[in-house]
Amino acid sequence: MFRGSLFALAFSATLWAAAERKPQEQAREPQNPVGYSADTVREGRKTYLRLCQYCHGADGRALANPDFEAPSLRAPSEWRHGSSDAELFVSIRDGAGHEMPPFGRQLGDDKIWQLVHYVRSIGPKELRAAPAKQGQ
Amino acid sequence: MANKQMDKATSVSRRNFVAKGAVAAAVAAGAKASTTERRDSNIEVPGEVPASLAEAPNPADFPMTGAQVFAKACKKEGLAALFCAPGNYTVINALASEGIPCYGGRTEGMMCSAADGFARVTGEVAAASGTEGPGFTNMIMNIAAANAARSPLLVLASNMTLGLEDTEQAIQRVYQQPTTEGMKKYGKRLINPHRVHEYAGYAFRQLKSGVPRPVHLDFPGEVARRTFESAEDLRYFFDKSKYRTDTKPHPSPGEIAKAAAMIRRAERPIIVASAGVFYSKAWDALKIVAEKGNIAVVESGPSRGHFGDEHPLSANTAPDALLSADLVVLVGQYCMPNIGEYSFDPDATFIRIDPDAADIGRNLPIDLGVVSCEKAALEALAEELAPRKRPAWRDELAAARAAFEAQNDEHYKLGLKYSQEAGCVHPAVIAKELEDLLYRGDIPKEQTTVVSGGYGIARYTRRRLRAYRPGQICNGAYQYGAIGPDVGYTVGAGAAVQQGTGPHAPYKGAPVVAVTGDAGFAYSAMELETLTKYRIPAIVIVYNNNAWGVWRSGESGGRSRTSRAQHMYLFQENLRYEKIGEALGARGEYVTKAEDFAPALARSYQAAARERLSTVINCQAIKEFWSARDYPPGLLQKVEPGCMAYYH
Repeated sequence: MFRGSLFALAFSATLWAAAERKPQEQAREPQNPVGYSADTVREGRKTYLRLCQYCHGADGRALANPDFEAPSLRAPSEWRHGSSDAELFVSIRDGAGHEMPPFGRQLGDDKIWQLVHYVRSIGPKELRAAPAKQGQ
Repeated sequence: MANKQMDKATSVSRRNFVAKGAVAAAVAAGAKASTTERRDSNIEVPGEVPASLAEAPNPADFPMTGAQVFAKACKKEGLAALFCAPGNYTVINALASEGIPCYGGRTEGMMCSAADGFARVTGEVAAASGTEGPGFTNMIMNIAAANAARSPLLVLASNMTLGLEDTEQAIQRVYQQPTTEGMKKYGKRLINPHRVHEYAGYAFRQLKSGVPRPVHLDFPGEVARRTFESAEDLRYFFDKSKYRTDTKPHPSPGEIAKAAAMIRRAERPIIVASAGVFYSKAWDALKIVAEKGNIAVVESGPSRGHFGDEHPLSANTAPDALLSADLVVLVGQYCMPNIGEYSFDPDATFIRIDPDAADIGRNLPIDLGVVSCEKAALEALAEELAPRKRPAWRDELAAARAAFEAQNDEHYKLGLKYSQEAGCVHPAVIAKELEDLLYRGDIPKEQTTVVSGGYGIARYTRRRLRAYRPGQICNGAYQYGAIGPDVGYTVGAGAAVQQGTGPHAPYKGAPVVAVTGDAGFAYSAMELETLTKYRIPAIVIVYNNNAWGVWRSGESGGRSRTSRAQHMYLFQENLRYEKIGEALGARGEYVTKAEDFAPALARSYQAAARERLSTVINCQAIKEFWSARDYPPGLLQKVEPGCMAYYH
């Protein structure tokens, strides 16, 4: 029982550590430098239609892909590689898992951030960034 | 097929190929080969086959059966070939007697794909036939694929007799017309024997006008076997010049003027030359338009080659340039993509030239629609268009092509490394070595017709396969995504080259090459027997990675390596598909190292060119090559339109 208690404690500690991000780790994550606006979303959509719709579908629901089950971009809770803006950016830039290829070489950082905004625009409203201030 | 004809036709390819070192290379490779190649010398083509093929046609004359009347109409219409499995005997025998080239294979379905493949690489009408009931329903997938590709396919079948329908007497009784609903342009179960010639007219009016699709006719025994003493016994018995017209719709001068003005204003115009350009044989007019206006051209459709890949205005291998196009002219694009499926800027200006007004504006909003036969429209545009230079656009195209080739070279270097690490053959190596043999060696680059099939392997080979003349590449999985018919398409494409039909005339008798995967090979492997029986020389490359290409779909969300579903996606490892080739009269090569692929390919091409022997080259790989994480870039993405396209 003693060993079981130790194990449970260690397991709980591990889970807690994974759930809590330390401030310095959060600070190192990339931040979206591109403001959220209609123009940004429109540019992101162009990129999405060319490069992403094949796997994730024209509407982001990924229902029509004949090759494999890509996640729906309208349901961040189902994503396997994180759902923050930074995690989304990294997945697009570096690839995710076995199926999603990296797009970092094809797209510059600005294009990827625009894409992040577009993905947010078709997902839950509470995850969208605040509108960009004028001139941003 | 007479050997002398074959010898003369292939003398350029074979002599040059043999004389300039390929033999030496093959012999040298053979001396140290770690591959195996065997052919069973006990397998023989029975004497009846060449004797039957050498028989002179025996055209029928009155009194004729319904089948003979129909066959005669097909002959006059220039039906280019029939592909079948036995059944519908009266009709297929009548077609053979009339002198139409006929091929009998092992499965109705794959022979239907053979007819489709023949049509895709020639633009001519080809027929497929199966027996009623199970023979016919065995063709459903293949008819659907031909329909998706918009192929001019004539589907024939016997059908339950009129007098006993609904009784289920005997066997093979089914209503066949409903089974092709949604996958044909026209269909009819013939019920009035006196109208058999009339319905031949119905069929060919549909096959030879507008946008082609399959036409399906069923022949109950009362129709096929009815005897007619004279033409007076037949209703509507007229020559084809009376029952249809070859006239094509021409564009309105006003619309052509608008199109020319839009092109003049554009900085980076591009033409998407699709199936309609090929079927209307408009490649010369296309070239004039492109060169006069310095307009880029990219291909789409079930075949490639109507705008050669080596042309400085070709964008087939310039995917990075597609987004820059500010004006897109879609010509003969029958299978219409949705917004964004083509890698053009959604805000670009779009013109669509199509013979079917009802399709213009479907899926993609257009800025100008021109209803016309593609050839007529391009000829009118060539007249109307003012010459214009676009050096910046040409430079961008050249840079994009160079970037694409650089990417290919990078894949190849990685492929060699992965092949060494994994002890097998990476698809990038197969693609590169195939390109080198077909286009960069001693074989004339326009010579070899290729059936580009497979799933994952195709993502690599399509990047390297080139087309320099019309009909040089058959795009196997086009639109329907059927990976199985590849060997079937090879029978058809090979027959087209063997006969020298249409654009294949200068290369009559040359070998053909097919690329397929282990999953797809299973569907149509038996037609290797058809290839060897008819001495159609084909090299069938089977990419063997021990699984369905989508095998990762069986994993459980990436969190664990296996799941209860995964066994359904996997095959046994290291299966010997080349032995199927050997067992069916062809040669077999099993390649397990990257450095052995090129010699195996060289030997196989030599055997095909010299002895008209087909070969199965079984290339051993691993399923893990599709992982973008473990073997980047893994399963490659595709960009459409262009050389990688197969959706639209």
